[in-house]
Amino acid sequence: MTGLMILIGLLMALLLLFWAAGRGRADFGADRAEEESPVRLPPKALLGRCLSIEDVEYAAQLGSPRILRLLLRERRRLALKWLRQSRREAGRLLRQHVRAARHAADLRPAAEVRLWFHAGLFLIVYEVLMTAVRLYGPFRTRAFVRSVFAMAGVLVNLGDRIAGTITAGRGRAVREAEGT
Amino acid sequence: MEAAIQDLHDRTLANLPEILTRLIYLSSTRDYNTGEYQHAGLADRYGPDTAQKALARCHQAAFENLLYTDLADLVRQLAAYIESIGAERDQVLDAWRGLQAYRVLIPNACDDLSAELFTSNIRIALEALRAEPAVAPAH
Repeated sequence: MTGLMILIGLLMALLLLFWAAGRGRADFGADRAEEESPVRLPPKALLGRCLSIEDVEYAAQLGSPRILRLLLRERRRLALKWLRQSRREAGRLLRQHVRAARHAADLRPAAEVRLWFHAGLFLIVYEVLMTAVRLYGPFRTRAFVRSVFAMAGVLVNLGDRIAGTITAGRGRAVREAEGT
Repeated sequence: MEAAIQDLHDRTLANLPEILTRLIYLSSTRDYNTGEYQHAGLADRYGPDTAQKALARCHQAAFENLLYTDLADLVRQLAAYIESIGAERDQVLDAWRGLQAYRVLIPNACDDLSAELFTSNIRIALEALRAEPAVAPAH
């Protein structure tokens, strides 16, 4: 059990390092205005639409392999885009937090640990989902899509938690600055 | 603004039974050069600013509604629309595919991913209509 925990911890640290490396590259060319614009995680329902079993069944019953291939290719592409956008927005949220934290006098270590723990989990779930969605096409059973969708729910949840922790921190800072 | 939206719905949108036809109507009220909506009657009754906002809101709502519509239903609505304009079906399909006129149906405030999913759905629906000429336009 302890070994497993250490392994998960190492994996998370590794993923965070990769993320930080990517962040450096993103920061280099990032448009400052875009970087500071409000973070918007894409709605989960959009991913549900991309992975709709009903649409696949409809396309399959048309009897045209070309249309079925087109649908699966398009939906996989869009689902991957949804995931990348979620990751980008979560990353942007964290970068905004890091920038704000540089000037914060009241950082709460417990909240920071929780935040980065959620960020690590977010990355693990993201990578698992990217692999799963890449397999979408050959694997497109209801059970497979349900699992992917459930995992996407976890990802959205983690994104909301990251946003919630950061928003709560900002609110506290504003209240303290106003002396209330 | 709620009164303007209700008015628009009661007088106009209620007469358009399908979401696709509502979307086509609402996007046709938008000036392609300025992106502003034009509706003389609504502007007279509620003022140009309120009319603008009401049309934009209804446009966005119709778009989102169609975005989350099943592919089978989208194909049915598209077939019904083509039937209703009385043009040659293959000619309309070719024009929609070639000119990609359906892109004007996307509202201004739409995010990239939704816009892409929408155009992708329409492209697939056009292919499906071509492959399945017997798709019934009726409800």
